[in-house]
Amino acid sequence: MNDHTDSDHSCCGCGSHGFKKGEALSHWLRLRVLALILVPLTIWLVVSVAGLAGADHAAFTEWLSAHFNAALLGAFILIGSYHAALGVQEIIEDYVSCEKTAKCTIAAEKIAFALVAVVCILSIVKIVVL
Amino acid sequence: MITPMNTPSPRPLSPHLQVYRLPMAALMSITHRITGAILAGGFLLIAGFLVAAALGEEPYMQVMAFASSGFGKFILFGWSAVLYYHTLNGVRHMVWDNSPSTVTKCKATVSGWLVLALTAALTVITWLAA
Repeated sequence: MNDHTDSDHSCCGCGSHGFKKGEALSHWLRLRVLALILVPLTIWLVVSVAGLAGADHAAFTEWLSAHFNAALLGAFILIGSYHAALGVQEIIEDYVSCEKTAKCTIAAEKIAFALVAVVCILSIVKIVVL
Repeated sequence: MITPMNTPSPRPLSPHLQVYRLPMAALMSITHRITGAILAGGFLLIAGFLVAAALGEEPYMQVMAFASSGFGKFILFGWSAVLYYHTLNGVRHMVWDNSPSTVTKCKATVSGWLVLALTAALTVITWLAA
């Protein structure tokens, strides 16, 4: 196995995980645009969580019932989990050489992040509405 | 081209991690990825917290009791440091993307130490304030 060629790199004979034209650039750009939006949201979240340290259930639900807080927390979760899903996708693409395994893992990972985000949003809605 | 057996391939080699001491920029790069993966996993904890809060006072108080235990505080402290590092180093990457003149060995070393110092300072300030 001394003469590697680029096509040997993946077990399925096709390198670069079969990106379509423009797909990799779009992924790169989305990851960074989401990161940019996350910077102010993260500052807000850290300040809020620090202020809520040791809060009891009533204090937390009162804080979350302010629509401003619920909206920003929802935005942080949606944008953050999308950014996380894209970031984990990048890690898988870099370290999993078999294209089929990579594609399946990426699909599973994206479904998992979508589920986590949905569970978070439903919990927020329940606290705010009820 | 015929490559004889047992001679090194002329293809470029990645640094051999067991004998090559990674420079600071490379260590900070892999740390950015590791902290990103940790934060991605952290979404599970956020979801667990929000579900507990949505279920009612008793599950919420159980989560808060764990959070205020020694191990819980250790996790939260590490989480805050990891979040600050990834956010600050992410901003560093965005600066690099938008002004390539900042990507020199000297400037990257200075900005790297700046990220590390700010991470430490903001983590300590957050925990003194909370």
